[in-house]
Amino acid sequence: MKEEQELCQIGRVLRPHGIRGEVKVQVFSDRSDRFGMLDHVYVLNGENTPRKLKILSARNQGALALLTFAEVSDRDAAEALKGQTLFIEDDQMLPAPEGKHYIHELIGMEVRTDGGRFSGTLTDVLALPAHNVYVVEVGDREVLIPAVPEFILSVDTEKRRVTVREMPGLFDEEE
Amino acid sequence: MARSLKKGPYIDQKLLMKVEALRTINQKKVIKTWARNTTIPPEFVGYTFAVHNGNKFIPVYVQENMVGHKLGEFAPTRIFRSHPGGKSERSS
Repeated sequence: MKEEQELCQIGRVLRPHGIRGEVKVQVFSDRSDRFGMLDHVYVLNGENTPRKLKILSARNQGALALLTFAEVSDRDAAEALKGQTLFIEDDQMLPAPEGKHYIHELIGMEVRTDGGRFSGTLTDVLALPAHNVYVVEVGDREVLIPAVPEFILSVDTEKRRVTVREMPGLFDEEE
Repeated sequence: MARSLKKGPYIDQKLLMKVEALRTINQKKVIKTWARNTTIPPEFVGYTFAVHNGNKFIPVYVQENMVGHKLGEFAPTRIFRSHPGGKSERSS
């Protein structure tokens, strides 16, 4: 039986779809077709005990996925899954795409400017329309840094350090 | 109703002047702006703007595919956190 620590979030059930137990799922992966590669997922019961759900079919509807499970055959059973997070085992995780890093790995990393003038901790990654933005806590301030190669010079996963380009107006309050 | 073609796109002149001043000295810096309604001209490509969203300044690094859009489109006023806290397959 899997503990929650060994599981990785892969989606969240939004609502039932139709009357045959299909559910609409928000995908927590870069690949919207991710569920097509999986055989089963887990949901957590009230006491955080994982319950295995075998995937019978998976199709995409825009950025969302429509799933049917062997254990869920009607709308009432699908309704019971509403709001539940779907998990996979850690060893089923795909490697991060070339040149990218998983957000959960980035959070908590030390962020330093190339000149070494500022340093802080990466606390969040915002998905914004133009590009992702790193939220960095520098002292008691919050600094937002665009996650584009122009700014992010290197990400060292071993030293857990992100080096960013220092640009006037980014870290200081200058106009 | 769409803006008249005769007038051309709306670009905040003060902002355009700031970008042109930086271009002449070949320097880059983050330009703070409240002009969310400014259409992005090709001159803005490669520059970073801190666009106010009513609460804070959101950094927007302008790329070629953003030309013709408004600056405000890239600094949402309501931030939707689409990635979950905890371990997931979302990358950046």
